[in-house]
Amino acid sequence: MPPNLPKMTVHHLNYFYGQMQALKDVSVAFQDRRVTALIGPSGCGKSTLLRALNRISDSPGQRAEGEILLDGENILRWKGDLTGLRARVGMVFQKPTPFPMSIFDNIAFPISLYRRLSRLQMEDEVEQALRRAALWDEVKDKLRQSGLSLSGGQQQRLCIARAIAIKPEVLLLDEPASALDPISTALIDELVCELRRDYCLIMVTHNMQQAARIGDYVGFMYLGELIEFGETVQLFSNPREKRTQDYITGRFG
Amino acid sequence: MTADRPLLSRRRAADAVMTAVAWAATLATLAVLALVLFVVVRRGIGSLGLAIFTQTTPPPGGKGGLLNPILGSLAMTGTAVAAASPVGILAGTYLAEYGRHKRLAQVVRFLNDTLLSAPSIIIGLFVYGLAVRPAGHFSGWAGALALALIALPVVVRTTEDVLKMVPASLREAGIALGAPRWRMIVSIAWRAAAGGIATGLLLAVARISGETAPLLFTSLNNQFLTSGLDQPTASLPVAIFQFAMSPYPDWQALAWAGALLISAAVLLLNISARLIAGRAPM
Repeated sequence: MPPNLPKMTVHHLNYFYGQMQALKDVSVAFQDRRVTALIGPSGCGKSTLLRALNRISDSPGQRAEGEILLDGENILRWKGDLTGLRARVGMVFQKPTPFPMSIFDNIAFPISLYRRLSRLQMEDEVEQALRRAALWDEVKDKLRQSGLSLSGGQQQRLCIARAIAIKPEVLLLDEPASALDPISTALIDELVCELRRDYCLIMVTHNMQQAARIGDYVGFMYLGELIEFGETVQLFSNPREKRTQDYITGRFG
Repeated sequence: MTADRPLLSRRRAADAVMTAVAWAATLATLAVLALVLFVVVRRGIGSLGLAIFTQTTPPPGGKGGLLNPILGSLAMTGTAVAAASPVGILAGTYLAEYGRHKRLAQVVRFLNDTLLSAPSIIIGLFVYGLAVRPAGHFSGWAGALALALIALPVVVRTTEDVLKMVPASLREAGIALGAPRWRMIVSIAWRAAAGGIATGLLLAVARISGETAPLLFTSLNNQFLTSGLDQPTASLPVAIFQFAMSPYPDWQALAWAGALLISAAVLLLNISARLIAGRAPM
């Protein structure tokens, strides 16, 4: 195993939607080449934390205090164009969101945002991304078909392929399998484990089995606070906090 | 629990009555449409021949067709839509993508709705004052301008509505990949809404192709074929108006043929709009 390095570090993060405080003094470090799973009941702030990491929910009325460091640089200080941030921190959403274009163009579109490639180079990049997302064999003969023609599980892998096509360093996954059937979920889990070799992966999930199966680290959040954070085995088998214990044994949530 | 029988049968009776009323209302509406189409086809089909498309409007008692009104209508409608589309699509995009909660957008939306419901004769008078009087004569350009002003709010409204139907998750996914806002709108939102936007354009064409009042003040009419839009220009609705009010049977027959042409064209446009909207990827 390569040495653990924090890729992203959150220091004393407070996050507000207007008057409502969604995150309270959250501090956590996300290791590179590891999967960190965030669990907790609905409304606990785990999605807010995830979305803060690439500032996707930046809009008036929302406010963040504290620091979010990406390789030591505070991304909350970045002004104006956030393209550079999103090139390094990719995101996959809960519901598959293929763009209304061909399978090929779904992958080529994000690449073309950053680089001007020849036709051949582009075909090569698209193939690589689809291979990495374990989708190539299923779609190689129908790259011109609409991305919407794929099944839900395939659409989600297409979205993962699209996110890694621009070679980010961090990949945020917001309940990537919650809208999928068990077989598609297993494929996504396998894929996430595979991607761990190259990325810092941060995943929000409702599914504790999934967190236990593929998370190296798990953070338990409740009412906007990060209650407990630790290695997966330790957190699930021997939680320090009573609230963690109650949640993972199903006493609330 | 045992069912309350009288209550259940009362509900069933109410259901049957309401269903019957809804059916009757639907049939009444369709019957009106069917009657109009039937009469137009029956009276118009006889005069519909090749001459309609190859000869210009005749003097009373003479032989002729509707070539100049057909070409005039096509030219003015085409010019109007070509002018209204880019402005309307961009304005609708502003309202849906940039101005959702802005004060300016609320004002623009309100003004657009006002324009949408403005009587077309007012638009005609407005263009008369704006373009016909200063120029000193009626012209096809003025007619096209009037039609464009009628088409514009339709395009703005439909563009805004269909863009609002594009799921926010799709926009977010584009932004999350690092696409600048304009790029996301052009490559993702417009594409997702393309079918709906095209439908809006077709409906705008359908709306203006039957307009008569605004053309009476702007393009007026012309008995002859013109080579450009800088002279008074014939159009199908105005030709129908002129011929239908005349006492000459030949002219009246031409009016029916023109009515059939417009009805068929508008029907075709509406059906195409439906088909495009039906298979639009959303």
